[in-house]
Amino acid sequence: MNDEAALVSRCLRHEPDAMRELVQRFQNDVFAVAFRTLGHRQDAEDVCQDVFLRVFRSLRRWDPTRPLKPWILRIAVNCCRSNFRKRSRRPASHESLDNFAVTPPKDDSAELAQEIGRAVDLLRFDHRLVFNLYHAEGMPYDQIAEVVGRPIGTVKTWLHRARLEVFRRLIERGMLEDGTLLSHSLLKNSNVSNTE
Amino acid sequence: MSRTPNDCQRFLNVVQRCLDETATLHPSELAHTEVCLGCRQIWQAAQLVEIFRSVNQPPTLPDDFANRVVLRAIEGTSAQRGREKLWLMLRLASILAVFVAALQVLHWSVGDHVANAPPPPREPILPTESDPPSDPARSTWTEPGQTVLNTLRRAVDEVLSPTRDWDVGAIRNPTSSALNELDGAALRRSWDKLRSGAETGLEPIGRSTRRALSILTREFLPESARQPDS
Ligand SMILES: [Zn+2]
Repeated sequence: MNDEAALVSRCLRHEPDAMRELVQRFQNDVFAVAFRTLGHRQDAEDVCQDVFLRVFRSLRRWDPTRPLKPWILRIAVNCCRSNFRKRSRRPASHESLDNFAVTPPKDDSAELAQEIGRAVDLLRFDHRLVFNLYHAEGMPYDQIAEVVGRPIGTVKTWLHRARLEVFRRLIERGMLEDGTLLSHSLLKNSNVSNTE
Repeated sequence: MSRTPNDCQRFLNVVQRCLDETATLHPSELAHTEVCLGCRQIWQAAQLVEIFRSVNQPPTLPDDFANRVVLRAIEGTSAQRGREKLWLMLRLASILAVFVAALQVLHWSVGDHVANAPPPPREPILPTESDPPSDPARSTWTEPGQTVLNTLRRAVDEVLSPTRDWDVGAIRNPTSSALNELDGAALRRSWDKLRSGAETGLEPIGRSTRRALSILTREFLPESARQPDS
């Protein structure tokens, strides 16, 4: 039995130490996905907690021949999606991007981080999700496909569209050295709204 | 270096492939950005996207996060076990209720059938002096029950009367040719009575009874006693 399977079987026996170990092992990955996708600290923390409660409830369904992390992240993505749907029915709070812990502002990276984050935050949910999984979490395409439950081709298409949209917004926000506001004709049809 | 729409599209594809890490930008391809401001901006934006990870770090979770989650999970498990027990009890109770209801319906349907049955022509049931005084509910069920028994007994007697002369050995051994030598007409009459008696008695499942009896007729009656439809 591998290390993950052993941990899971201890969790299934409701051993608190094992359960704590499982949470600690994956909490940063889950929180990062939730936070980057939802852009709101408290929502992300709530979702993160909900994810682990669901994980404990459905551990019996985990296939021990597969790695645990993508399985948990898939649950995380589903929780984020439901939270996003619920939230899109209530008024927007506009506090999301101020929650980012930005690297020390030794240059203008703080502003840069906010601008990129804002551009990403305006993407539609699926595009934002794959953009974050690829560019922020550094996940390869096949793993993203597994986590979001879509074919690699779809993931690739979403990511390419997401990038064009981010490029367009960054150019429009004047974030480039050139300073000239010029949106390339290639980016004109990348306008995608922040809805599902 | 040209800047036709095709060149721009080609450059954008290269940028996507670079970000996919399936290609690196060749200096000659970068030359397009010297003549095309739009593509130069795209290239700069792509470089910002590449540093996205390093400049956007999410905050960290509180130190006691794992403890809180485990506590809630354990609480939830106990609550879930309680709910499961309750659910199991509810299911058992509902199965029992359905069973009792089915028995009751069966009881009623038998009662209705008895009430609609023709009155007993002979041997009326008369209370004797030795009968203990019965309660009304008991007598409601006893009387029709006895009527059914008497009717059945008479029907069986009538059906069996023409068969008293049959050769029992022939029936016990169906391969014997003696079965075909039986009086076909008498056999047919007995069989028809038996069939109609059973059909009347089992009216609620009449169709399947008739079908079963037709199959039985086909299988066991000798050629001489069969009708074309059976
Ligand atoms: Zn160009």
